[in-house]
Amino acid sequence: MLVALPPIVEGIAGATNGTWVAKWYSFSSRATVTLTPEMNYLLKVLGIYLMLFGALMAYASTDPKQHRSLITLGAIVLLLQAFQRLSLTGELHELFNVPIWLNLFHGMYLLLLALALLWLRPKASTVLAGERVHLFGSR
Amino acid sequence: MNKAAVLRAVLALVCISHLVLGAIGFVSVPEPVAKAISAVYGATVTITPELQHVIRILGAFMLAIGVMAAFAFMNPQENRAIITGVAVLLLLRVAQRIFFAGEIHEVFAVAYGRLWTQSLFFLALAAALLILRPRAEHA
Repeated sequence: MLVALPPIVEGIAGATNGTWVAKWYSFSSRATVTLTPEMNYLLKVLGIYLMLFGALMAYASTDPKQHRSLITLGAIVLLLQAFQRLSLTGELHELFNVPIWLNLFHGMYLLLLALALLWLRPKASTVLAGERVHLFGSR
Repeated sequence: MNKAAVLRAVLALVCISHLVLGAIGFVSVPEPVAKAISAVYGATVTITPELQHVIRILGAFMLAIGVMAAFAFMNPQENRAIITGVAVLLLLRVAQRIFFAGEIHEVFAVAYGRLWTQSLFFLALAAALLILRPRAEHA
């Protein structure tokens, strides 16, 4: 739920009005965001994707054994986000004035969440022992 | 063509389009991004560095949806929740296009005719996914 809740809240806010997300990032990342009309609309689109990602993570939390593939996918998304944050630290600092230490902290936090998901997810061999294990299935 | 084959064809379309657009967005080199947006959505957009960063984040989530659609394509029975989730995503994007049609037209110079055609297309895709998804008792 720690992975699911933030994107659900950010997604609902962003899908209706990009300003909310810009304000949230200004607060949480100490970023200076100039909200152009283009960015405002793109944040709305991003909001929808965030909501769906959060909803699917929440769904996975209801039965982690059944939804192992969703957990793996959640970890991959978090890894991609951590990679983006950490590799673009300088750019984020230049463009949005995000303090370098805070960006590194956020990047490491996302990385730790991803590793926790990968480490804690039910093992493939033990998922519903005795039942079929589908390579691309949820079981 | 039977029901399962049509469902898989729709899922393949969702998967490939999200993987391709997601990869372009994730790498986010301005010129290809602007060309892809123009070709797919008929929108005119100048990619500023700030916008580029939002597109990178959006790209990561689009890649995730593409991978989830691939899971569902490989095993629709076991991944009914993903099919429902993707259908809801498409419906919400249609709702956004309708509610923010004026904004999209003004900001990105997308013709209204193209906007309504896109909305109908994505509405049809969402409806197909909801109608064709495996029944709950069989999932």
